[in-house]
Amino acid sequence: MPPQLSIFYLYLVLAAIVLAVFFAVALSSRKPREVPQLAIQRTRLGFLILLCLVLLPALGFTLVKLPYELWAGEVPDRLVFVAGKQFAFAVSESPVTTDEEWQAKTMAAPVEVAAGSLLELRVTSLDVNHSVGLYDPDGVLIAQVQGMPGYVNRLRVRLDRPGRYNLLCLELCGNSHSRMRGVVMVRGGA
Amino acid sequence: MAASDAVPVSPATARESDAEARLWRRLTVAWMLIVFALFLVLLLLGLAMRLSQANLLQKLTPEYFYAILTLHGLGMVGTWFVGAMAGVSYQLTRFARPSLGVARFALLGTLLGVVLLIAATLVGRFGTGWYFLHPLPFYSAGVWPQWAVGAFFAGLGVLGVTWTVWTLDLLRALARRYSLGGALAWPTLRGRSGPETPPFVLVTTASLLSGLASFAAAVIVLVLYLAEWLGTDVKNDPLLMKNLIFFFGHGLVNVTMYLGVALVYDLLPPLTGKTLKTNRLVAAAWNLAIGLVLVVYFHHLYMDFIQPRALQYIGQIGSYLISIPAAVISIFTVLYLVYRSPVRWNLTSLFLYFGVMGWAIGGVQAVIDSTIAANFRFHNTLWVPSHFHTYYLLGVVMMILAFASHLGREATGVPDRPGLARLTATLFLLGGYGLVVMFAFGGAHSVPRRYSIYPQELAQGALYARVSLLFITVLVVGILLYLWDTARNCWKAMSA
Amino acid sequence: MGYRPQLLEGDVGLRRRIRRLAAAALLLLASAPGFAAGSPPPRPVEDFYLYRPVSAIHFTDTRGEVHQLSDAWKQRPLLVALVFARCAEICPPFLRSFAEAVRTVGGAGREYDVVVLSFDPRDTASDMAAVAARHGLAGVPGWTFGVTSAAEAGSLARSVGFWIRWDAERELYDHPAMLAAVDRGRVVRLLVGATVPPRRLREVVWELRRDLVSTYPLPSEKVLFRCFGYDPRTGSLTLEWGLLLLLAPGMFTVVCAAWIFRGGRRADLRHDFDPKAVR
Repeated sequence: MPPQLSIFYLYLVLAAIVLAVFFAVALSSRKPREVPQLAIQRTRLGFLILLCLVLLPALGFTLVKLPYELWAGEVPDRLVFVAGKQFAFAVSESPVTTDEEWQAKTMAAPVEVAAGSLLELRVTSLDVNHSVGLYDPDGVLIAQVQGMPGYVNRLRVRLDRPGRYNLLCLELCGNSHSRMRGVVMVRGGA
Repeated sequence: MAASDAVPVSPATARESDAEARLWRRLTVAWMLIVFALFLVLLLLGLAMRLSQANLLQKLTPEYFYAILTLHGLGMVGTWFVGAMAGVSYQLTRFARPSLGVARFALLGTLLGVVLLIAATLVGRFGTGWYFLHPLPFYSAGVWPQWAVGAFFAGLGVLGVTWTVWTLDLLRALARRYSLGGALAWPTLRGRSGPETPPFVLVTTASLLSGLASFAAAVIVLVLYLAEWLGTDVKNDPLLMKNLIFFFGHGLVNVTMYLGVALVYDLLPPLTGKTLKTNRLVAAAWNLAIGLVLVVYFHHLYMDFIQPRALQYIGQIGSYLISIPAAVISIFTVLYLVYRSPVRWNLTSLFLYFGVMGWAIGGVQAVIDSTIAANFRFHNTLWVPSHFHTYYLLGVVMMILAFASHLGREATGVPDRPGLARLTATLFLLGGYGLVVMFAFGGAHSVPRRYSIYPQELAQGALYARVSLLFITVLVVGILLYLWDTARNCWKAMSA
Repeated sequence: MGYRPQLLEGDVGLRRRIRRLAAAALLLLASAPGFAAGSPPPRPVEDFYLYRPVSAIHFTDTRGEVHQLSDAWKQRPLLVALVFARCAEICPPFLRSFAEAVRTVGGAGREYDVVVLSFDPRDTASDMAAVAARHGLAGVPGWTFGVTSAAEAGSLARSVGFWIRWDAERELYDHPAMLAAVDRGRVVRLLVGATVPPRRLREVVWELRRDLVSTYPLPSEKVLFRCFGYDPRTGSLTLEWGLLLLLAPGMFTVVCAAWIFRGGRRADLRHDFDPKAVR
């Protein structure tokens, strides 16, 4: 199951808990009575402790899983340059720094890599902010990084499954934002 | 609720006060009617977008889709900000004397700004999204003309100046009554005895100060944009501009939420029969919030790897930390107010209470999305609109609609209609949560946000949009029921 | 290669024979890959070589021992430079600058090794030992000097983007000054230029340490304000005027609050405010 779906189900469970608490409290107003302040304070304290027990470990656990350092200890098999410009991604194994290079690479055959390759994407933009959303052959978003003009962002991904990996734009960049594309083909075998 | 003790009023002051009170009420009712009108129009624009995404409105070209997206986003943020400010101004007259003249100026300035934005978007097809991310305004791809860029910046400038002046006036009014420490409950924080700061005053002061910082960021970013647009040699750094834009934007929506919470603090306790006091915890929470609000905006730039790493860490840590006082102090306090209390359940109390629930549920999503590792999968997918529609539609919008209902009843004396109120709230919540859950479901299935139409690879997006239309229908019925009740009362109040 | 011409005082005929032999060897070399003919190729562009495999050539060090480059990179990442002993123009300043930068940055022999090879078939191990000694690098831990065959020099040169051109008039090679950072047999960085600034070398060593620096700015036209002069490769932050613009809203708010609420304690101590006076 993709992580996104697991997180969605977690959200539903937590939202349901919040909903249940709010409805239960609202229903309690049907039988009003005095509530000792001490009980309220203790419940608040308990809530604070519970929240800290959830949030603080979550903070520690997730702050070490940053996308900025994926596969940092490895040497990538291939370097792929991605340059966004209204409205296509040039995906190339040589740098794309000019409009002419961008034009040529958007029309060129897709970059092909072997399954299991560790790629380093170097993403930039030649005009406005774009964002590379890397989708696997099943249409699941597996990685993303912004393409900001004047900067290059490096993202490493290992593409294990053969098939067509689409690069879709995730940062509003104009009227044809939803049509922006790039492709990386992954061929089976090493 | 700790309020000043009643003191004798001189006849001259009483006459003055009655007349002024009527004027405030009239102005605030006018604000609410404007908010309702804008809400309906912007809601229809939102519906049009969802129809387009469901492949049911093919006549809507991408150019207009993005113009509508821009107007809907900016419009809703602005509408509910002015709604919150109008409500807070009105309630503030119980504690201080804001200027009626400035409030009128704010209304006129807002209307002018709205007209300019409508011209830029619906006429000029300016379509950068609410956040006008640099340098997109200058890269229209042949869609919007230069004058639309000018109209857009002019509209933002008018709104920015108007709202800054309004904010300063409310702070001035507070300053005539309270010292800074008094307004922010510093004596309470230090454990000293003395006049207590009403919770409403504390929250309003904290929110207005944060709002001032947001507007300052907006001024800076507009000046930088204008310098570049006017053809000078100035080139702006996209990273700096993105930081400034989100400093402003995130701050503005956060402040709007907090102003809504100020209304909850003021309006809910009387309906529950309980009182609310500012204690050390409450004082600490809101003083902390002023600073934290200014740094949590970093969570909008996680996927910009160029942003310095320290700021990314601060973004996640700050976002997690700010949820603790919100949950443990504010949200828990609201639950305490209602628990086992003889609550007068009417439209006001229902919308205030469940608006806070929306804040809580939206907060769950916020914590998830502010986790960098999760953001890596969710950023700029439909998960994000799910989160902020929960915070807005099911959070602060409900709080402000609650205020409007309270105002309409106060102005006309029309009694509560509990049955209608329950039906209205049920439909609103069912429709609203259906809408936001469908957005979240879309995000969980990797559907990007801000797509005018979904390509073949994302065909599921169109299906989810169609399902959400069912919920939007239920929501619209709930809104119409609400307006039938409250807008009528407000209209009566205007005519009286 | 082992070839060592014997130069005798006043033996003009011998010198002429040596020159002809060298020219023949160089013609052979010039036809090997890695050598440029005609006008010099442009400066090597790093982006074209990143993560490409480096030729696992054999070389002979200054003690006469034969090694394979792959054995070296299996132990530690490498900084590889190609020079020639008779170079009087670019190689000496390059090696001086390179040595100084390595001394400043540190880590040679611990985090990475440096391999300096001659691509000139005339050079011998002793020639390269002399080069090492001239730069105070003989016996320094982490530094290896050596020679290799013409074919293997060409193969190595091609894999890292290094071009070599024989200038018949001056009887010297024309070539870029550059070093290649090699990790596990792949190019991870190229530094091109006769001067090796320690700051740039630090970036490269960072990469060799396998600390992934996830972003960098492109050389660009001047922008008005940046938040930071952030060099993510070295992790150094220099504050720039743009940061002031990010701090300005907060400072403005503090100043505003102080101005609006000036006068200290006031009406919150007064109990004569009547809320009904307003409504």
